[in-house]
Amino acid sequence: MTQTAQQRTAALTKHLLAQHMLFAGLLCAGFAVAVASLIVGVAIFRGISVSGWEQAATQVPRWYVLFIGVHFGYSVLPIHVAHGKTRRSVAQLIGKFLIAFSAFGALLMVLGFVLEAGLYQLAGWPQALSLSHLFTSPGELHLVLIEYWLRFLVWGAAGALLGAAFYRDGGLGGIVIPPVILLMAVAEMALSPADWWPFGSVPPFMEDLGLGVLPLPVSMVVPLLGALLIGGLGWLVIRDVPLRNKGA
Amino acid sequence: MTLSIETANLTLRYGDTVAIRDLSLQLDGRKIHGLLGRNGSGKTTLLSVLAGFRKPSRGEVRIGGQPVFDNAEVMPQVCLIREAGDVEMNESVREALDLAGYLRPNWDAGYAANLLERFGVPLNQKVKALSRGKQSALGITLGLASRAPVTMFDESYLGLDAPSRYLFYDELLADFMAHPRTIIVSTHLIEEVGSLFEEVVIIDEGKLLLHDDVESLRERGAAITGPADLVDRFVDSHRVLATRQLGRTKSVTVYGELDATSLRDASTAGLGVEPIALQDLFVHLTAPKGGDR
Repeated sequence: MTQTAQQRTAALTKHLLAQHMLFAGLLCAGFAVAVASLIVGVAIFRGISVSGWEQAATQVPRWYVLFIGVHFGYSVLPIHVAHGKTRRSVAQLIGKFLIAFSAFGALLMVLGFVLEAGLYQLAGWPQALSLSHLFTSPGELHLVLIEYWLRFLVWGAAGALLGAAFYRDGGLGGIVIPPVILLMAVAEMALSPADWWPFGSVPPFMEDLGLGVLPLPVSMVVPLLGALLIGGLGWLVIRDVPLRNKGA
Repeated sequence: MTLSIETANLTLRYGDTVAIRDLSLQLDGRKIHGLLGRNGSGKTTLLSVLAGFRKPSRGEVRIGGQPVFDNAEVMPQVCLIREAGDVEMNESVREALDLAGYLRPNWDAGYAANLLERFGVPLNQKVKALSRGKQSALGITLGLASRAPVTMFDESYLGLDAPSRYLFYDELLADFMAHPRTIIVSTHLIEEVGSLFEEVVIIDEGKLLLHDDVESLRERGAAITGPADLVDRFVDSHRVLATRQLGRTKSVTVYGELDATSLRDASTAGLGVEPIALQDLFVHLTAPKGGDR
């Protein structure tokens, strides 16, 4: 039976997700082992008082998601268009992929905190947080999931926009970098406000204005809007992007 | 499904450079068309616009009566293979085929596997590790096995050795006979592949120079062969495109239709008259006005 275009697209999205989730899962497993080894290594010389996974999960994985976004904007987009897909349908595929992949990445981060909690409990170490988050304890798993989902969504969308812009034109890529960094910074400030102000704390006048700690819904809506805005900019770049001539 | 191609006042600019200018063209379906032009004449750009890879600056392209650019009904029906095809160089050949299977509505996986085997392209090797010729063979496989109603090959023979090129031509013809569709082949190897064409389009400096069926084209000139002095006397009143001589035997290609009287005179003089070589005609038509090519 011949598959419809929608069925083929759905099958392809699942295929891409399965492929990237498997690879990301394996990478994350290796990363988790490395982080655990580092924690145990540090514990030999001094006491452990904070979550090591928090530091690691906040830094490295978002760069990986950014890279995946760049790959989709720079490479997957033109190849799919060359195989007869419209730019609109590829943009939709990238959006769906990033939503699902970011959720999967966030789940891996949650799993990391859960496994770390088990290790720390066995060792009798406190799993304290040293950065500001939507969650106040690693045990608030739903908030851990939401925070990393939103973070990865913003970083993945930013990567796709940068990838597509640089594919379209190197100069355009350069022009897009500042607004993308600004939107990513705003999203990060909403998710982790205390760590984004100078010297790691919110200045007193901001506290006075009630902007020191954002209400939870605002902290969640701001990165979501950031991701949507980045997605909108991405569509402006993608909607009539010419495929480069070979050797160009 | 058979789809015709139509362009109207098509223009495409790269900044200040006009790559295609006011090109209007009608290509019938179920034919193999040759697209000829010198380097930089706009062949690749024209094919890119026909495939929806680029948006025209002005004018329009219609396939099967519908606009092409980002049209979800038309784009999947069109396949343009540029050199080695558009594939992820870090992936394996098998992954490239799998992706085509997901994206191409008429993809024939069995035929693709068969073609790759005959071209000697290993499935598990990364595309970037293949030689230029094997990459071209992969592109040809992606194009033929897509069974797209409009399939275009843009210099897909690059790096292919002679046996592989002939395999490509044989397969192109056989698959066209089995699955008639609209095929455009852009090439510089005119003599080698010219016998496949039903129609030829020649563009020069972004403009349509000629569009005709090959038979009519060949009647626009002739190659006169015989003793040098007799040939010289016969061609004296004709426009000469090319001359070859071996000893006392001379072969001269002339442009312009020969009337019945001329043909009778040639026969009486013992001269051989053969259809014009497509390549000679191409060289003549695309020569600059100064004639220094």
